[in-house]
Amino acid sequence: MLDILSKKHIIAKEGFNRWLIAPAALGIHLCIGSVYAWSLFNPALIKRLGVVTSAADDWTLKSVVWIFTVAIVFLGLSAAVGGKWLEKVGPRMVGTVSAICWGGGFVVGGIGILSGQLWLLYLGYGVIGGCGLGLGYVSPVGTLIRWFPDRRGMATGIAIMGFGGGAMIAKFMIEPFIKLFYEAPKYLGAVTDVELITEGGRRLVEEAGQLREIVIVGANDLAGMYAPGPEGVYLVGTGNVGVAQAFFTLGAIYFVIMMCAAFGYRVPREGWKPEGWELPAEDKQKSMITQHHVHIDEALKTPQFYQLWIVLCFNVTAGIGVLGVAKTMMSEIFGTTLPNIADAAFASTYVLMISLFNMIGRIAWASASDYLGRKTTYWIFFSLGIILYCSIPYTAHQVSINPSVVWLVYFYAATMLIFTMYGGGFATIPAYLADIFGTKFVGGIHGRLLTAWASAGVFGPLAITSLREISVKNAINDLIEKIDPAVFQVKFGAGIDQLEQLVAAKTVTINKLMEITPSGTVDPTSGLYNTTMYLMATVLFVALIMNATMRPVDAKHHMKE
Amino acid sequence: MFNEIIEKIDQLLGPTIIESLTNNYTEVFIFIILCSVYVCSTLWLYGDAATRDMGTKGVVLPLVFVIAAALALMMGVYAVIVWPIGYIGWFILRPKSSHVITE
Repeated sequence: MLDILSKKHIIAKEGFNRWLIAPAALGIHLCIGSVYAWSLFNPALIKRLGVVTSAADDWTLKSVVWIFTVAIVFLGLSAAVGGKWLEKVGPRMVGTVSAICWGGGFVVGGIGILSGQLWLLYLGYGVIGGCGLGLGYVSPVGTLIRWFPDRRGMATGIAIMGFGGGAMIAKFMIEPFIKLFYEAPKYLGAVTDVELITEGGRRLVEEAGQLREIVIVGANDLAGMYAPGPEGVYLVGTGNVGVAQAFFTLGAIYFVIMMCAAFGYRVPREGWKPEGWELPAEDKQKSMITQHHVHIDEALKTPQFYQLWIVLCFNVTAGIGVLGVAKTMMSEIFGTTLPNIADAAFASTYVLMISLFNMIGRIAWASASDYLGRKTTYWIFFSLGIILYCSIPYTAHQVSINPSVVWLVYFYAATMLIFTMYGGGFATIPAYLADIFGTKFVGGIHGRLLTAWASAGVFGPLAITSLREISVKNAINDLIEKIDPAVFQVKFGAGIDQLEQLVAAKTVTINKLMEITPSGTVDPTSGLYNTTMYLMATVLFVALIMNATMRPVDAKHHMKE
Repeated sequence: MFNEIIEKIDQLLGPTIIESLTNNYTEVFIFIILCSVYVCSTLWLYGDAATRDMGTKGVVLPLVFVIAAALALMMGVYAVIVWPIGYIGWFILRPKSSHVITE
């Protein structure tokens, strides 16, 4: 039975059209790429019981946002471990297991949501689903490179573009499915019409002789409701937010698509090459493209692997750095200085454009690398990236002192270019690996290199959060020095000596302090992201050095005939 | 009982990495570099064990490093003390020869 999944069973027959591999690879990557749309589940997950708004026992946002990070960490770990297995069993087996894990992860996660067991959601989506992500991500890479030795960058770019576009497609499925399965809870009436009891911080009503928990929907909560409903009192546990059923449905859809894609995989027979294409002669060949092969285990003992690890990791870290703050910068800096242009609709389009340019970058830069060379492509990413990252603080400062649309256009263009390079970095790395280590174990080596992504997925956000906190703390301390302590006391009802507690309780913020600072004080908000941008430029500089010092692998690491 | 043990371990392992990162830009940069060195050295160990035919046994120490990293993130940074100790132990105890890989 398992034989039909084996490598020997999927060797392509004579005359097989190699372009048929591309849609199979794209299909798998489009499904697993939906992981980037995780944030769309968050609003529903935190209203599992309350449905219209969060109830007392509902999960907090803080407790569910880490599921995405767990999934990315398991993506890296499973890709690292599964890479070697991929080389042994072939892409169809790995693709099938990936489909089972990704689809099954949704089902286990859905059971966790239904039963209210958060650990099951972590296990299902984060761990099992994360393993599906890693295996699915690496499954087509080696195969595509072997089918397209003449256009390695373009081939892997097509597949990895799917990962970037998966979230865009998922956006059009997740919300409609949640709405489809959504059932409004029992409405008890307006707040004034219902007799409310408060016990242990919970709001309750007496119904049929029993105290039952309720939630109150105010004017501000209406926008967050999946189906329109009146303001007032709703009974907890009587509706259905629909997210568990959406999980089951999505799991089934992804499973079917990924299984079809996995069965579309074919590997070329040993020694196959495209018609009319010859491997460039040794003397004409670009020095960075090897004709030898390095074993997957031996690759881990070469400096080139770690140079590429740093290249990928720091490119992703820098990308996460700007991804994490771009939308906030747009609304906080440009939204306040150019409110007529940078409104809520503009910010939404901006977020959509981020996904689009990330996706375009994957295919465009990876294809361009076939002509430019991999080393040159990354050299462009890093040198141009450093300039763009360093210029963003200047742009933010300029727009805060001289609101002009020119700065908005520059910021928009600079960040979009950064996002193309972020995506391009992902899509070009498999071809770079094939150039350096040969094509024989490229899928497995790529899997191990994906630990760089998992690492960046953990410490990138940690670094951003930490830098932001440092910047806010420094900005508040600078503003406090300019404020009369008596005015502060009147405004916040406490002295400056209690500043730390007031900041922790979000009673004191930069915006609130700006209301009592002497006129002429410059708002420090635009400078809050400066350190993040400079740090990202610094990590890109390290990656630039690693790429610039890249040399072919020493012959002692090559596999012997 | 279980919670008490976890609490004791938590106290023993000191502040988490996030709690330790509050001072400045340079500290965050050093944190990123050290994390990278940590992961790369763990991968190197994994590869070194594989080329020395360690089989499943070769996965144990890298796995310990991964667990230590998770503990450092969630409970306390002192967990990564197993990293230098593990490395010293590895260089003393590892099989002396690595195999030649043939096509």
